[in-house]
Amino acid sequence: MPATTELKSVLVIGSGPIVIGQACEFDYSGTQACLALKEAGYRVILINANPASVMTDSPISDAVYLQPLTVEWVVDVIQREKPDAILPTMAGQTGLNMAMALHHQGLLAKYGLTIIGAWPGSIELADDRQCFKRLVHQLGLSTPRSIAADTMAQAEQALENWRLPLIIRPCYTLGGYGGGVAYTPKQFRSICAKALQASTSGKIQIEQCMNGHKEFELELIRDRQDNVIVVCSMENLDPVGVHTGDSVTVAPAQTLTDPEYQAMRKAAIAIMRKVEVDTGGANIQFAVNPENGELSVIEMNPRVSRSSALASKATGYPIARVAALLAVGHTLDELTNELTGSQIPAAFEPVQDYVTTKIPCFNDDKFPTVCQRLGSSMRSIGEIMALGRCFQESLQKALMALELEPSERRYQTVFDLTARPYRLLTVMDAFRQGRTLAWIHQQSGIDCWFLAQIEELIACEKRLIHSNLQCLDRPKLKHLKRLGFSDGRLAEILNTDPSRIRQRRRQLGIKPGLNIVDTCAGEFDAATDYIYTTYGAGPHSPASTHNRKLLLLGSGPNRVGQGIEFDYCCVRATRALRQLGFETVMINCNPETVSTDYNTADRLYFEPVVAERVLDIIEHEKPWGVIIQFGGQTSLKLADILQRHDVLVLGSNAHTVRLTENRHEFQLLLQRLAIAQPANKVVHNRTDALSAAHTIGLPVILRPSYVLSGQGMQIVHNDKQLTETLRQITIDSEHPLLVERFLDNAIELEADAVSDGNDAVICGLMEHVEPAGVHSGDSACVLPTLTVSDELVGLIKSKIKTLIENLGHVGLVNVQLAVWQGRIYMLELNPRASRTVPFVCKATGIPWVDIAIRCLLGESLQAQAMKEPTMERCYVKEAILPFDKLSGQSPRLGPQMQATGEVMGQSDHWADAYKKAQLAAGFYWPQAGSGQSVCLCQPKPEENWQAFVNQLESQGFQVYQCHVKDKILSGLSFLCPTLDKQLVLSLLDNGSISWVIDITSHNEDKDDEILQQAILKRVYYTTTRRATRLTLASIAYEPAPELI
Amino acid sequence: MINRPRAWLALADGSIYQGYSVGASGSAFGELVFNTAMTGYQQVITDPSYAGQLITFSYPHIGNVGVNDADFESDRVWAAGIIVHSMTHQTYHWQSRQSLPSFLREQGTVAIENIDTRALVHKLRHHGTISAYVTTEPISETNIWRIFQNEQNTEHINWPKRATTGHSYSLEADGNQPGYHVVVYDLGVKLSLLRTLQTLGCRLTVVPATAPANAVSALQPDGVLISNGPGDPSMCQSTIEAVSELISRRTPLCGVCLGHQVLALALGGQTYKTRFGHHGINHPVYDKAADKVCISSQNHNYAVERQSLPAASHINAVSLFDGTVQGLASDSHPVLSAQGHPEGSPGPSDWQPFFQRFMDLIQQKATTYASDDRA
Repeated sequence: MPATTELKSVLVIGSGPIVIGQACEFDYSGTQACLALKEAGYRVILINANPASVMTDSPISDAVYLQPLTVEWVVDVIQREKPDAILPTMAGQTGLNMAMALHHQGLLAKYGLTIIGAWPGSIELADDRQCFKRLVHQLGLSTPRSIAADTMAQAEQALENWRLPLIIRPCYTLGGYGGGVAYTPKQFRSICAKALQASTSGKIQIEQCMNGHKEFELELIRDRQDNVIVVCSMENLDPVGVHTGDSVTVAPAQTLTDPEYQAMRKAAIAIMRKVEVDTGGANIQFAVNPENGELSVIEMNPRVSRSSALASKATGYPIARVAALLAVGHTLDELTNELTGSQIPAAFEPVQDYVTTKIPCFNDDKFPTVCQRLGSSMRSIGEIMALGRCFQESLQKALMALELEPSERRYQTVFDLTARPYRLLTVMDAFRQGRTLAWIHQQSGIDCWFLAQIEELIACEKRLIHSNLQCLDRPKLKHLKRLGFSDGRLAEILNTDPSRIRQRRRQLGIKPGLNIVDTCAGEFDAATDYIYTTYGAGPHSPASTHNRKLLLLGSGPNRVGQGIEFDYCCVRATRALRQLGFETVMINCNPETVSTDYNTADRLYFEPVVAERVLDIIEHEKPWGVIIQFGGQTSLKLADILQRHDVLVLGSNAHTVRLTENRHEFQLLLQRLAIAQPANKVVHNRTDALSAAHTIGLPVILRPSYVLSGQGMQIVHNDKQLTETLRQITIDSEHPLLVERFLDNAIELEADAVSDGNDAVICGLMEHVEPAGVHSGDSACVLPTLTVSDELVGLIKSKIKTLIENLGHVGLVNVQLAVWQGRIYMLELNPRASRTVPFVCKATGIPWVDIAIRCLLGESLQAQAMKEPTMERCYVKEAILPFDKLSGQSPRLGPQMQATGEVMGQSDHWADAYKKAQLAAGFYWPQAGSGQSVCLCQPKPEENWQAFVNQLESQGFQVYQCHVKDKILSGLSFLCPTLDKQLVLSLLDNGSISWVIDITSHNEDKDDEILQQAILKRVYYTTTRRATRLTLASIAYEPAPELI
Repeated sequence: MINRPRAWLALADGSIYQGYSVGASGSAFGELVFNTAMTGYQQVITDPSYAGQLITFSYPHIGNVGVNDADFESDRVWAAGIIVHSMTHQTYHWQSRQSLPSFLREQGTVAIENIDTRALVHKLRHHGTISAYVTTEPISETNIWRIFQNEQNTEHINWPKRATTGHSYSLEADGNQPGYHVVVYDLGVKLSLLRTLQTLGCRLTVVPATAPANAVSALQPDGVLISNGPGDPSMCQSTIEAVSELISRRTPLCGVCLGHQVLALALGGQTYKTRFGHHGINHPVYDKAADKVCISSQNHNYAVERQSLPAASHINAVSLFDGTVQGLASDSHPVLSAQGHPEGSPGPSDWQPFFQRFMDLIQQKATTYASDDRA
């Protein structure tokens, strides 16, 4: 049956910035959906303010609107483009909420817009927990017992009647935020109080925790002919109680009998029909009692999700692509399965002949004050997946993909097996220390089948401890590799170097085999090269013989400091190379990304981006060269080892990487070029650190070497802080420390440039909104620069060019510098693509990645006729911080990066662009003349606020000050009226305050409660003087009528 | 690990694979087939349809939930042997009575693990079904030819004759519902097929494959089901003759799997041996009656020749994998069949309405053909 012919154009809703709980899986789904619809001949219009996303890249859709995802802006796009339909199911809960908002305001009807992929009724049914429960019961299925409560007294009843733990969920909030799992009455009361506040309807649901029950998820697809298929079954290692996004997940399910699985499948299909999921994908979660197999339904997501992205990668079945085509009216039996060369239809259930394991990645080192225990709200920042012929191999490959350096890995001797980040490592350590399977099962609730598999691995390790390299004969080593032991881990156990294990492996002729992910366990010939390596097979898949073949390394899991931006660069680079007639080979292990889609590169290796695997693949594929500059630090750090193995690395070579990472060498280069750097010194012990700090002069910034996104970086302002900080960090010859002068309140600038080895072009010079000292990834930035004089800008650019041209690096490069007291200081240089590259590409409209690729291939910038672009409009990039998701984390900015994503705003004037960026970030913008209030927290006399307050008042704001310690400092009383903290909190609650300013710096007693409340209520706030000043300027700006 | 008992798998093309024994000691010949199901190994190995076959499981972990009392399709293992990538030795599932290796040893079934089963699937797909030999006795390339020469071709064995019941027996309907009396031709019937009919309220009389039509008619059945079973349908001569007779008597007939092929032959159609068959639980079948795609359980090496069918019969279900005939009905006679396994077990129950249609057919017959019967 053909697709619906009335539809000609479709508006696709994008998911906006990367936040915890909504990461780049929606970029993957959205990209697939846009491409599928475009291929099918529809005009695709996209709205998404996330500049780092692949989906907002120009070839993906016909019209891209990088605008805030608010009803006003969506309507604006609808008026301009007049689409026939809107597809909201590719953007997570954000998309569904937008569709519901449009629906409730009657805007869909007004503009004659059809919702496709879902209908409002089913969205409401699946999202309203009480309705959903009723419906599940009507089908004769059970759910965990729960009650709804709108007062504390009602909540108390649940506590009296039921045993803890209990799950508290606020109604109608995203991702379970505001709720949690309570293990004690005290926790219960505090979570309930918070949840009652967070819930938009004032209602919460208290649910019995199916403690110790096994958790499963099914991914389903339904078409308009009522055909339903299950794409994938997944089993969460962590039993019920941990958010599925924070759980280690294995596909397919491992511990169910066929009748148990079929009962679950049947229930899921019945729910799909009952909820009337119109067309497309959905995810249903189940709990199974391990004592008797009793099944209960936990929840349903009537859309593509993180799980569907995982399921797509685990099985090869492109759920989002199929869902998009079903939404426009196709049916499953008329669509074909590309992975088998379209021999079979999309209407079938994929089978695996391998096991996939997903491990979530946490950045707890960045958020030390957040509660360690995992619960019902998601905390992980990213994830990795690994495929192996058996569970053990996939598990150990997954551990490899986490990139945990052996030095960071401390073996534990005390075992807390409650749900915590990386619990799996504790489980392994417990086995290492001789704890029994029964004990670990009892403590963790993890199913014994998995534990037995892990126990076997540890038993192998133990046997190996008494062995040595020479004793590893072919069968033994082969056996260990089949179980997934990495060369690195074997070397660690045998107390030798990984290279020796590799050598031994080659001596004995042990190489991994290559299997193809084909959705059908080999029953049909595979047509795509979606490959994983395994020691559980011979070399099945031959390497391609293309003579223009290049290997690209991806960036691994999303984490703070290395996210989707690098995936954008990788995907863009792949496309550019394919257009130039190259065959591309991609290695990456992040299931959420576009780069790991089977049709992004010619050949995809879903593998950990680590030396062992990369070298094995290079040996097999024999590419002409390898490109490492688009995968962030993950790929860049392989420069050295690749060079040692005589691999041709294009662009970033080991020399330039070392030169820019080695502080001393870099310093010498800067001195040679007469470029200033903040005074600094590398020290190897505490005493030297102290004296260096004093010579340089406080404040200083302390940086441990080779760090990603400012990890461990500290700014110290006085002696007390200095001695305290130095006591906490390791400094020795192995761990040098850089002591650097901190340029207090300096303007920070950042540039991305491209170099052909001789000549460099600056793609974009950005000015940070936050001052130096705030990590560049956490600061908003403006392109072009805002407050720096033209003369200085010219000087900065020429310095950047001189530096790059003296580096011998080819390709993209990122430079960070500061302007302090009128002088220019070089802060940092990274010889690779950076976080800001996609933003600069989208702002300038120039495909810088493509240009860099041509440079890598030897084409000069001159030959490409590339010049620095002139900027006609203004672009602002704003960082998205996770403080709303991580309660307990102080929302202050510092040298350690905390942001998870970004949005962009654009306009003719920077002030308007800045405002749009804030709207896109999800904040309410303080509107001039609206009679709203501004709250000034802890103002100090020396900060001279009076002029500022006057300005605000002249803009029609009511200004208050608030002193948390209830102590008004002398000389402030005249400033503006004073409110106590409690009153401020109530005003935030009822929406009277629209801007909170709290620039209390870290060396003072601070109180985060007001800021945290503001964040929870999405009230705009600033925490630095510079951002505050720029905000005021932005508010004061009178915009001309909007022109896009 | 290194000291575990070894086992070998030899194929008729001369290739030998070495692995570890995870079943009984000894040797077994069989036709090598692959099954892609990720659950339900217990149902598979106890399904009489697999008689004489060596089953390669493409899913790498087999034995995860052990062996339990509920998931038998017969009272024994019918597969000649099994070949897996990785066997679970210790089980923890609440229903598990014993581990799969211990059950296999008890049943005298050979099994081998640590085999690259994906490579075997690949081979089967390209070369078609092949004879194979699993043994715990060391073999070499020199003695392998002798072994294969001495063994008779398993294709010529009349498997249904071996798998059928020796004597007739009756089964009551579930919960004393007043329902139809169905005679089941046991060509190697799965317990779940019987259970499905019992659940629908049918009282069953199970008869051997060789039961003549007159004897069946004498039981005065409301309908007759020709069961699933192993091997080549053309070997079931006596059943085909009996079914032809029953067709002419307008007895409502239902064929499942081998029964479907027997029915086709009885209708005058032909069957052929496919390259490597269908063995899995993810097969899409377009069911015309429901106008839907059913995900179905499949296990067969033979198929019905599309062109050979008489004009009155029509194909009411097709495989979306390869377009093969998946179901038959007839304008002139109350017959119905399914090539796959609508009863699932293992596998989905999407196609369960098939059995209701059989009940409807019996019901219709009772009204439509009532006059014929009297005549």
